[in-house]
Amino acid sequence: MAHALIITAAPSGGLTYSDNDVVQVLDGHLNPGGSVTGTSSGFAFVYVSDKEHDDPDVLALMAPWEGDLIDPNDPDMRREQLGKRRYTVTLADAAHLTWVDADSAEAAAITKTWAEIQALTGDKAAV
Amino acid sequence: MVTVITKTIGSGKDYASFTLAEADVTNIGTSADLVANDEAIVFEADAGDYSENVTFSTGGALTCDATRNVTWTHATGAGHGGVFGAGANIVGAFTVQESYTVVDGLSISPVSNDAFIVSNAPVGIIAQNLCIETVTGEAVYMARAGTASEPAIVRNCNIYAPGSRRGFDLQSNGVGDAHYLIVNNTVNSGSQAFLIGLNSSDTLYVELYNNLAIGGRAWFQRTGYTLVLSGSNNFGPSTNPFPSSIAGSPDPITPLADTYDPGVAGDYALYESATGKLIDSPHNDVVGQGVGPSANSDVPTTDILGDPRSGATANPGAFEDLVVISPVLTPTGIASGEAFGSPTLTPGAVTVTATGIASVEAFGTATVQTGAVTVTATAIGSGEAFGTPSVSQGAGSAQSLSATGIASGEAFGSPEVQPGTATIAPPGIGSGVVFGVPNLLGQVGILPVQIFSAEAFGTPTLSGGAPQLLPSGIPTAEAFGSPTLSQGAAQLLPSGIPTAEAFGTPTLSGGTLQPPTVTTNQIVAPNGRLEADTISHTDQYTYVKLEKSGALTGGETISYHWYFKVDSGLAAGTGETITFSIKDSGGTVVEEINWTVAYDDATPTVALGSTTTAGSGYTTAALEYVAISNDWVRCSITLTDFGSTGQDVAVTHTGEPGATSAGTAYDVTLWGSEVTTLDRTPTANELRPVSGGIVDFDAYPAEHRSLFGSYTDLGDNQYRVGITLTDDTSSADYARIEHYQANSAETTHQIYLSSPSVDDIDLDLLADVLINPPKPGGPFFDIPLITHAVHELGNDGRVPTTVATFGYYAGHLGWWDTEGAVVEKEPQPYGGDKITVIVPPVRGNGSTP
Repeated sequence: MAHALIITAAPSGGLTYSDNDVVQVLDGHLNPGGSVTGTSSGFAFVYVSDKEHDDPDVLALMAPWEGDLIDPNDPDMRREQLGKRRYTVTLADAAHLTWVDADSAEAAAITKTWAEIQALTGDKAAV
Repeated sequence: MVTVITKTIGSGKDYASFTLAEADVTNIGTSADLVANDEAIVFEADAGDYSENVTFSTGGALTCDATRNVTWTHATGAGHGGVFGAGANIVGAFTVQESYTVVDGLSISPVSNDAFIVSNAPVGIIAQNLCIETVTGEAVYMARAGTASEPAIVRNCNIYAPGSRRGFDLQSNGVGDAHYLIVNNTVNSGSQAFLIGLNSSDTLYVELYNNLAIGGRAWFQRTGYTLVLSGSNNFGPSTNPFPSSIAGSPDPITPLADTYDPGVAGDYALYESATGKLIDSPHNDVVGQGVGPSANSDVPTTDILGDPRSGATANPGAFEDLVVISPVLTPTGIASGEAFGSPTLTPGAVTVTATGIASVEAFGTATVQTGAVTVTATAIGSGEAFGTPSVSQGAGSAQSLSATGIASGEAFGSPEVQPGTATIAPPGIGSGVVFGVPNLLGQVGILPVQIFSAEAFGTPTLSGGAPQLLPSGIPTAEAFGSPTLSQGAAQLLPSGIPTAEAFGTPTLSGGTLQPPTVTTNQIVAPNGRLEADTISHTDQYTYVKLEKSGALTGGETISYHWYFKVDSGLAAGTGETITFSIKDSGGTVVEEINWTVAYDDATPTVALGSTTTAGSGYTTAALEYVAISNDWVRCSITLTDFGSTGQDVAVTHTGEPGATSAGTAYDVTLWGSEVTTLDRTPTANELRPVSGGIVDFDAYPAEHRSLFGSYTDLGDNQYRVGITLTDDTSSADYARIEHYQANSAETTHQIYLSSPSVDDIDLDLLADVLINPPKPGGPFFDIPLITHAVHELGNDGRVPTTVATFGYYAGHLGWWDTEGAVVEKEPQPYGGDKITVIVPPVRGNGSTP
């Protein structure tokens, strides 16, 4: 049974996110919207079979990519934001480009375990 | 012309979240160059919480300008209404990095950190009509944005940042100047409403108008940069006040929440704590102190709620309209000789508590409206007047006038108490005290007790509801007065009245209603006879039973037919409602028919007003009416599917109030009422009224018979013929053919049939008839069937429904053959010399008997 739905920016998807960025984590039983589920929408989808959508591990995939403080001595200074997302999840299989509902996800082969997701996860800050 | 592309956000919409919409924004237009496409994108979000941090940034992929841009707003009907967290509410930060972005009408309520963020130096952005709330960050943080011609604009925003948080943090972070235009925002912040600048070598241009700071502090500037500050009409507290160059007048002010009257002199900004709206109070010193849009085009012409803002002056803050709160008047310690005055208090829950009023003081004439009200005047000494308080409204709420301790010689005044449950209970009224003339409406009780000798109870007027007058313990020689009670159930229960006391002359009306009266044979009915009956109503909504069917067995069809005559007294163009009901024998209405009768100078116009059904299930199978003439209307209704067995069904007429002459019930004239069931033959008894004697008529047409003919031979084959019709019941002449001339060369002649006025009936021959001359030596003329019209000669004119067919079976005419005198004689020996004069009405069901 799928739980969390991870939506990423498919390569060449024309989204405002970098390729393979985790755009959003949703409750797997929610429809992401008619413009998201449409054919060739630019989004990629993967259900996480063993994590809920509000699990801190999953939510952490939506952390922004921030740099250091411009002036660490100024208490009013904020961190520099380098990008929308720090983490990527690369979904190579073309099956992930088509959204199906949670009940059909396993049959469509777009369901993975959290361990499998972690293996596909990239951290821009680690580069 | 810019093409606007609208996309929806919400469950089941184009995008489930702002994040997904933002991610896809470059794929929505024809291309990402909205300027080249001449397109604009509008995202409309449904109401609800969106738990996400939204960053609108395409990294330069999207090309926009001031009109070909992206707007983030709410769907129709999903606005926040000025309430924090309401409407389309982003529970997270909304960061804008894209130039020319418009964010309009959303709520932004992050659980922590900054709420609305502008960074990466976009130009021409507009944030307006937002409800922004944060508890651990800054409500609006703008790192660097805008140019001199395209500043970053924040206007009409309602901002709440409690604790140590700030409303605005305006910086010029990074390389380059920043330009901000901040107009008509309400900022309720624990720390500064505006924190300006950052240690930078850039220049920060800030322009502020009509901002209202109602938190702890207004303004704080960091150092190390160049600030170019402009603006006016900003109001804030005295701690860290606005710079005098941009401050309004008066400024600084003291913000006070939920206060109508601070009671102490000062400069106040009085606001409603729940919303930040300014309070409508003469003590609110900032009302109208902002600059208006006609004097400054940077001031928006509508406020955060879309209410208009116009003129040369306006209110500071996001809300233009004022809020009315409940005022409280608590005068205390009013010494002798002081007057309380005449305060007028309107809406909300109001308490007037005048205490410690000494002798000779006047309580004045307070007017208190709406809400639950208590007027408690206590300790009113001798000679003091309670005044004339007027307490109104508050239906269902308890209102109380409790004047206690009124000594002798004091007047209770003339309080007026209107709807709701009210009690006036002046106890202990001593000798010589006048209770006054209270006017009580609605459900009330007047309970004067302990009325002593020579005291007058007055003349209270009670109307509506169930009033009670319960004077008790009235000793000798006291007068109860002349109370008048009308309508509803009323009780007069004076007890313990000893000898020689006068109870007065109470007038009670209502209760048992007078039944209508039926007067038979008032005017000429459609059958031409004086058989129509009139029903006169003394009281409205009383009814008379017209007809009754026999016991039904269920599932039967019942037809009811009747004539009624429109009230000729109706003025031209006016109307009346005639109500007929069919009830079962228990009195339950199973069908009610309302006829609207409009009258003009010529003929009545009849329309079906409404048909209501109650009881056990009649349906109307047929409903007809025909406006015939002479103001008569023939009606017919057929009902089916009556499921209640063993019930008689009665037809009633109910008196309705006059439409234009209120309080009167129309008289109705009826004739020919009958009830039938289609699956059986009604008996004669069932065709007659069972009560009221409404229609006393022969259901079948009158028969006038007996023909007497006369004949005069004029020679040269000319004859004069006389025919006399005689009513066989009265033996009076009924009609007569006066003249006939026949020429042997002619075979068709006209007979003129006329008669004196007999029983108000005149007969005219309508058509030529063929009369053959008598055969030589023959005994008779040959007269075929003759058609006549019957004219009513009474006051009501023609009754065309009674066009009749007269059967002149002329072979039976007889005459004398003696030339000369006309002789009328019963025809003989030709036997059967009868003319049957059938004068059939068209019965209610359209048939002729």
